[in-house]
Amino acid sequence: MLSLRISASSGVPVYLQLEQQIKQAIASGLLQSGDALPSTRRTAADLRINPNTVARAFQNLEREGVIRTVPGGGTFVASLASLAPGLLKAEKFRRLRPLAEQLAVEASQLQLPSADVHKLLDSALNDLAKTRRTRTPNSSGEEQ
Amino acid sequence: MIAHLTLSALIFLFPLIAVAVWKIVSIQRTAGKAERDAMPFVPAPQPAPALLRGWTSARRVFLVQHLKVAGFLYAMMAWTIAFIFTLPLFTPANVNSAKWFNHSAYLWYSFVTGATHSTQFLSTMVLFSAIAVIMPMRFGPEARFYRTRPISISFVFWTKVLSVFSAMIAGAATGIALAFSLLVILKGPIWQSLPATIPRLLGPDDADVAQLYASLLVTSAHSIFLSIITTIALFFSAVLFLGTAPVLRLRSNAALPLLMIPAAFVPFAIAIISNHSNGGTPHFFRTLYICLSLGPPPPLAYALIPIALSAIFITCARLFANHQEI
Amino acid sequence: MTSYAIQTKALVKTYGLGSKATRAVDGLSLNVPEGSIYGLLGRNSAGKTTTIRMAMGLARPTSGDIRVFGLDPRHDPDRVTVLAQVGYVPEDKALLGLTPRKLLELNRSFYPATWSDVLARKVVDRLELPLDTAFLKLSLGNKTKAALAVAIAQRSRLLILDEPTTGLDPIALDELLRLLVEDCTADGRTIFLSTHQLAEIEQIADHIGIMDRGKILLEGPLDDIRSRFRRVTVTGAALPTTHPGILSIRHQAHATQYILQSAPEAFAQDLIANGATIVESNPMSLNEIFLELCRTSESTAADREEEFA
Repeated sequence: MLSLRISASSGVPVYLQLEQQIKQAIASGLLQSGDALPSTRRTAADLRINPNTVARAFQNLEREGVIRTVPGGGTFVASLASLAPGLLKAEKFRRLRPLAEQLAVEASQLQLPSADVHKLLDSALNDLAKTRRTRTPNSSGEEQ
Repeated sequence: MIAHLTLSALIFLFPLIAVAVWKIVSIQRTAGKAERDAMPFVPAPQPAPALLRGWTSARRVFLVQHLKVAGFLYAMMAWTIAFIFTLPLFTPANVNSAKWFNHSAYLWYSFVTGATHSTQFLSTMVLFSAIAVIMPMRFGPEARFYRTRPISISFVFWTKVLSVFSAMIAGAATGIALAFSLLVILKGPIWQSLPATIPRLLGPDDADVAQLYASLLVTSAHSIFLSIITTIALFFSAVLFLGTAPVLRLRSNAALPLLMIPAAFVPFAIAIISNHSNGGTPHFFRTLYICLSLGPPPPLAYALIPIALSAIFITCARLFANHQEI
Repeated sequence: MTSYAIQTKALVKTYGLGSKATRAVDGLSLNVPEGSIYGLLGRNSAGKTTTIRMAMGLARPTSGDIRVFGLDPRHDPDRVTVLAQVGYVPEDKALLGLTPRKLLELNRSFYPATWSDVLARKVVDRLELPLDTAFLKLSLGNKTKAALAVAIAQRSRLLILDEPTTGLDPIALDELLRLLVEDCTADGRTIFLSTHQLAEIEQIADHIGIMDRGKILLEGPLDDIRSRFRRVTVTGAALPTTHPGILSIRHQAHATQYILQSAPEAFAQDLIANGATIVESNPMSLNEIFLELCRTSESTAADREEEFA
């Protein structure tokens, strides 16, 4: 069901890769709200990685409200509807700021002008919108 | 003579070879069948043990394995000794027997001499058994396997050593008893009816017979039998001591042949020494209660010396086992 | 209070006598937390197997201390208590018994409390181990599989694996990793692996120890270690040549490359504050960290030898 590809030697911590890929899967519609995720141990075994790493990633995702665990077992993708209104715009900006800074630094190192950076960003957002399988009324990703 | 020797050798080896062949064939057959069937791993449920319930299953399994080996060794030892001792009973008349004045005297002489010479043969067997006990305790996959299982070093040592040791002693005792009983059954108590003096006049050619007969009259068969037992014990424990001493730093079983070749010469050395001792067992061997030829036996108290030495050697070997690295 | 599955303090093991004495293990202080998957990495004669043999009670330490679950693995009766809780795959895959089936049957009687026939069957299936082939006819890979099946089915509190990947093809290796994660880590059980396969260690280990010439060069949680190491390429004048965080420096045509082993962000900020430009800053894979540490350790040892020559 989930096809995650983890590279242990890429330099990016494994738990971070896991978090990012799950978020990506949700964003592109491969995982939808209410879908069940395999248990920590199952996920670790399938990916051949340490169960503590998976546990850490799941904990982080749960803290961010991306997934939720039900008492009695079972981890599920949280509904985007329940996620989005809970966060204020300022909180969302705060979350994305480090990524934006990283993009800015990399672009400046490569001497890419600001206009091109904006073009890059727009094309990435468009591609993501295209890969979405279903669109719910409130999930366009844009906010007023 | 040669024909007789060949025949006796064949009779001796026959049961051993038959058992070996049967064992090999049955193992091959079950192994072949198992490979063809390719059953999944479903071990048979083990029945509740009748004895030794207080012991863990690990200890029981280990003990049973070694008792099987000990049983085989016991049978081999008993068969070997019984065979060697009773050989004279079935030897047809030959040049030597004709020289003797009395067939019973010759028979008794052959019997007793066979017993004294058996020490050489037996020492080889004992040597190899002792080495076979030491090697899997110190080197190789078997040693490493048992050293990394939850059974104490003490248990491993005593099981291995006592099973082989008692099998050999019991086997020797059984063999002697069987041979002796057979002698009594077939020929009666011939040692009781030996003439005290040589009845007919022997010429100068028979001087050696006269000398042998004189020694024979003062030889005590019981001492010789006891000597066989104590010598087995002494030899086994001495080899055990040498083999477990920390001086030996072998890394693998590959060195085993190097150890066995010189060791095999020891019994021959004993034979050579005894042959050159101008009649009568040399003093050194007498102190250790090793009777290698006819003649008056050493005092019975001397038998305690090899017994005490055996106990000391085995105790030292046990202490060495604690310090061994595998 | 962390409890340790294996812990050594200044452990030393010397082989040989007099002038030919070599220290296979030279003041080793290793700490394997319970419940972790610990990878011990090192070159061929770093002393890994010697350390493991001392943990199993097969070899006696020359000096120093080694404890397994806080007990001495060398002397009965603690030794038996330790061994009842440890599964072991030795470096030398020569095995006892006639066939893998017989070995499994033999071994299960030693661990009645924890042995699982179900797990034994699972390992045999997953690794495709031929149960009834005589050991003499088994390939090296199959011997390794047999040793693994025997140890894993014990479901021990501590699993010690010395080069468990010898002779395994990529499929078997993958299945082994899956089995280790799936069946050997529940209930706080510990796995201690000694291997050259850095890629596999990087995937499943959460703690690592890098060993060289009988000593530990580096030990700790893998994530921490990975975050402490960084390769930084810098241009500028008056660049520092010594700093506690620098592991090594390489001068290139137009820039200087630093390998940092601690506090890389602070170092980078220092550089920037002093007017240098950071051209590139990359994290390092475990393989790269291992190579750098060993090379540096080698050159330090060579320098020291020269000093005393």
